[in-house]
Amino acid sequence: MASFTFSVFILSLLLSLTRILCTNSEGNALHALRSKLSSDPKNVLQSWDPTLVNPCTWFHVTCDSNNHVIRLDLGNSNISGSLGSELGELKHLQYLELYLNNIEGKIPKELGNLKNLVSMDLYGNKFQGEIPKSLSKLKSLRFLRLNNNKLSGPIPRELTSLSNLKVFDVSNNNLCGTIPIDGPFTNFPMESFENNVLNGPELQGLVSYDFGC
Amino acid sequence: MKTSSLFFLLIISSLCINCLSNTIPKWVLCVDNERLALLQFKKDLIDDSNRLSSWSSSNVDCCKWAGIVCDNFTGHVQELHLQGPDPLLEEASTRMLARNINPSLLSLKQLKYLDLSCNDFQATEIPSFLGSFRYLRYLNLSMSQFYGRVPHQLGNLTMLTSLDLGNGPWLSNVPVNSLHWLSGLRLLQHLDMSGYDLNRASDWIQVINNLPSLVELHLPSCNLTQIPNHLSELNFTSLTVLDLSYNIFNSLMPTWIFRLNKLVSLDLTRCLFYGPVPPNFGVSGFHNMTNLKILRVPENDFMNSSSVLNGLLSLTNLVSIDISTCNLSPSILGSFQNMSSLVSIDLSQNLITEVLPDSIGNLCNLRYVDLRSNHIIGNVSVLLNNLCDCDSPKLEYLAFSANRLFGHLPDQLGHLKNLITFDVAFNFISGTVPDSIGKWSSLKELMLNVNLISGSLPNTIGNLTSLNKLEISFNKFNGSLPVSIGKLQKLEYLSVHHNLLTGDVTEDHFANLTSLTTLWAETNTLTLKLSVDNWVPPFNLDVLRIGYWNLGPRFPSWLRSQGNLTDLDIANSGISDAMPSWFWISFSNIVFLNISNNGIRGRLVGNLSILEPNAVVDLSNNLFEGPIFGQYNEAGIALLDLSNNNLSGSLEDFLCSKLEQDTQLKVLDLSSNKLIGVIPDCWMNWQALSVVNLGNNNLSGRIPHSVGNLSSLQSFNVRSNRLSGQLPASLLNSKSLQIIELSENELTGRIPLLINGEDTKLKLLSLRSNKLEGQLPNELCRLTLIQILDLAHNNLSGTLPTCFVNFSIMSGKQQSSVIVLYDVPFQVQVIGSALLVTKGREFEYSTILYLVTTLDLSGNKLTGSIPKEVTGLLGLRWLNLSGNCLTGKIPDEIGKMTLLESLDLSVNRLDGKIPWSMSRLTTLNWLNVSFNKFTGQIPMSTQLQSFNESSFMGNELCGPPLAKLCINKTVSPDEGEQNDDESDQLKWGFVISIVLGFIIGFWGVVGPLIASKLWRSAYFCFLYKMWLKIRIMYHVIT
Repeated sequence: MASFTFSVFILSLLLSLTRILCTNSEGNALHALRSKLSSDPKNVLQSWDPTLVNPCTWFHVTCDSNNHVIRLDLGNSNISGSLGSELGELKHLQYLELYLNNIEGKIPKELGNLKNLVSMDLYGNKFQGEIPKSLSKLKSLRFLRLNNNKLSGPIPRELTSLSNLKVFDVSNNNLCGTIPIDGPFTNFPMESFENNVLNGPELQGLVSYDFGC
Repeated sequence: MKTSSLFFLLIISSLCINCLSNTIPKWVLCVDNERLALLQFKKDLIDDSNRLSSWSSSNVDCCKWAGIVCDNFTGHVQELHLQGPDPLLEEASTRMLARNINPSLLSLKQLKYLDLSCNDFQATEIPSFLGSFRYLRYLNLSMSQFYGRVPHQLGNLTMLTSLDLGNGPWLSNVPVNSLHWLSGLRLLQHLDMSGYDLNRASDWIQVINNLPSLVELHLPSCNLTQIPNHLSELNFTSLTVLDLSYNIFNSLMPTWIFRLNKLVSLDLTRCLFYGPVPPNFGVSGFHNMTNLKILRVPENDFMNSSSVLNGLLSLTNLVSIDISTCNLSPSILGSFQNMSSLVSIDLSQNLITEVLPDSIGNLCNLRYVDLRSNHIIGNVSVLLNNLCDCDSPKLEYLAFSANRLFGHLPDQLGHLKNLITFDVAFNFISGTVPDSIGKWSSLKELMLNVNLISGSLPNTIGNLTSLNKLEISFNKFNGSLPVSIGKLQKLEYLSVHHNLLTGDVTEDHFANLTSLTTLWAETNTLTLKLSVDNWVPPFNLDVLRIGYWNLGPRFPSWLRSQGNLTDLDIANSGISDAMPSWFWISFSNIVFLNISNNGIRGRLVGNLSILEPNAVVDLSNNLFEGPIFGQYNEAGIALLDLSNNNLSGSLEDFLCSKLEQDTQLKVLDLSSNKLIGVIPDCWMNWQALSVVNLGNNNLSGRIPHSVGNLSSLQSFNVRSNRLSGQLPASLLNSKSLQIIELSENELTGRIPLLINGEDTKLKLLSLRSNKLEGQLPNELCRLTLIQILDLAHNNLSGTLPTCFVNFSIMSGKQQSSVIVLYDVPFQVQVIGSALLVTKGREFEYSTILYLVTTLDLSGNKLTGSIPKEVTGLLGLRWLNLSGNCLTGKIPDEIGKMTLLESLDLSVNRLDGKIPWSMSRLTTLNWLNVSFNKFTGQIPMSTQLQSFNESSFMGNELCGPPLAKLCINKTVSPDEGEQNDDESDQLKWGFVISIVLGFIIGFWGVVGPLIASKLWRSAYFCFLYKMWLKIRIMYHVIT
């Protein structure tokens, strides 16, 4: 009987909630993110109700006046799981703060579609694989912190075109090759690169940038 | 010797009678006085259906009468077979013999067999003279509606082998005090006393135990509560059938039952026997009961034991097993794989979590499988395939609903052609429905609801000619609704709601659905395309729910033919038309009416005779106009939603007119209309009200005090009107209100003190944008469950209370749950909702409102410092203290408020450094500390540096994100704390000189103000705000 009442309860809940299914593509992208984040012990995603018309009322999500998502603040939230390509749908996103969690898998190359991104903080997770070259499309990017992960491969040379980049940190990964010296990279301290298997600054024309990879 | 001579005499005398009476032919066997007795017996019976028509004086041979068996030799009546029809059959009562039993029956001295079962003896007592039939071996009075005591004289029937007094499942009102009278029936093999109240017959088990011949014992529903756990001497070991069902013993499972090893059938349904079952010579439970074929033990916790369930493995002859509702959690499903004779398995409503073994599909004799409501995991595909592979599958009933099953329905599923019920609802089954189901010609119920099934519904569904119920809601069915569905002449219940069906629905889809009573198809993208204007549907529906279909733009006129409707949902269906006048006279039983979210025009009518009491009426989001009539309060409506229309006039008529008794209204939503006038003080007869929403109208005047006395009121919303006067204390003192939303009105005066705030349930209090004044009363802190406190934009003064620690949800000591204000399953659920302001924007919150915690005191005249008690609100998500006259520092402990998402302290007179602890606020995504007197470096953290410069402007701050560099080198958090004091000292002289100059310069103006503290703070506050406004203007311009 208890199970039956429970079923009825769930059904009526579904019934009342699915009246307005989320039609907003940004909401769908965030909902896809939620479904890939397999563990959420602090219930930080509890408010992410997919039936709401737009995700602007969800906690840790901030919208602009046109109801476009501009901030995603999930730093230090104990969440785990992985990221999917859907995140690239958040075209207006300026701040992607996912630092200090247990997220694993690759950094989706679709993050390169977030044209308005100012800050990408993925540090202190378990990301693997290479830094996607597509991040070089993020022309507004000022903060790119990927330190303390398990990233491998070279630092893409294409990132030297990010002229607004003020803070760059890839320390404590398994990156290989050499350290770029062009563009904003002239200003970054050596601490941003330590604890990798990098082979020192790039010697243009002498060694290829992925030397030693 | 004596009896045989008597017998001889009898024969002689009967021969003599035959010789003497010429009227009776020689071949007649019947004994005359027995014939007369039978006629007498008939005379006392009502026999409407003439079952005893052969019993007549014209038909002299009573041995040839219906139901009579005579001794072939003596002609004495030996057997009387007068059982009536099965009482469950339709019109059975007309074919029953009724009234009472005439004692003339006693003349049938040789009677051995008497069956009067299933007749209607109209609550008379069982006649005690039945105990005088000394040769009686069989007595069946079951289901014959005898009432009262059982005569002890029945104990004289010493030849009796079968006694059936069963009353069916209902209890006889007169309790049986003792079964001692049964002790003499030494030959008794079959005893059935079902339905007799044996609660006081404490000797029942002793008496039964002394009936050595007993083979069958039926004592269901006997109100037995006492049963010994042990029997030292077990005498009725020949027992093959034991039925103790529906006696709530609620005791240890008696171990002696397991010693009845000849048992073929055991029924302990709802005996509430619990374990543990102690091991008995190394074996416990069913190990020795190898003859068992039928085992029914639902609602007995003793079954929830691995060792008891292991015993089932010995029962290789089992044909039918029912272990439903036993809280089973150990694995059990594997036990059945070798029981090839199994016909019926019922394990429903347990806690079975194991993986579904495919081997169950090999039990080809199965007809009935019920595994509903467990937590069984696994893929159904292989199991169903195995069942289909049986030579001639016998399966009739398959119910796997409410488990965690996945997989898809195999293509050959149609091979189970004897299926009557197929129920896999509430699982995770995906894939499509195979075409082969069209072979299920016997199927009556198909339940696939709440799964992940996609694809289109196969056209072969039209071949299920016996189908009565089709339930596929909450899936991902796409494509169109097959036209063949219109062939299902027996279909009564069609539910396809919440799918992705598209396309047109025409008259053909309903062509032969003459039996249809429920059409529940809302939330699909279907369009009703009728080829004729005056379509008359073949059905007459009770339930029609086709919201979100495209039905418009004209109002569907065929609804007029559906006069039996109880539920009508045509919300969101693109109707843009005038409300037809026939609508309000075409129905009479409506309990659920939802025509919301259309463009339906017209005035409301006064006559609501279409409604049943307690109806739900949702006409919101349309273009209804005119006044709300007084008659609406007489219709017994439970929920009335007229929000977002163009209704005008006052509330007077509706709330006050002709109210003689209490209304049933629980939810009243008249928000967003054009209502004017006052809120009348007529709430005395509206005690059922739970939700009142009058927001967004043009109401004026005061809020009546009586509103606060509505004892069931949970939510009161009058936001955005022109209400004035004082806030009634009764509202804040209500013991039922959870939501009070009075924002954007013209309320004046002080916030009333709370007298009995301890009993409050208040979760949301919004007095935003009114003209309230005075100090924040400390009594506010008695609102311990408050989670949304919005007093912004008033004229409140004084200091912030320091007792916030009493707020148990805001301080993180207690969790909140969804605020459900009204709930009728499958119809409507009203959840607490509110418009809330955060991060500078306004949003509607409903489903997640319960998760919001906010304290907004912005835009007042509050003075003093931010008490460090505020930082104890560890569950707070939004804090807005901006636009006040707060002074002092931000408490260092602010870094503990780790749930904080939005923090606005702008436009105050706060000073000092921004505490480094704020760098710990990793969830902060909105910050404004602009236009204060903060100095020093902005603390470093990923979050804090991610905000715009505008969040910090108008201070003396330095460091990123501001362009201004700090003179000191970047400091670590620890150094920063020390530096606070140093820089304070440096500026100390500067501050002193300014203060001195200020005091001296304005002494003449300020002097009088010192007299009153209130004047003082208000005056400074005003001056300061003016100054800030100029500064903000300056910043905006530049």
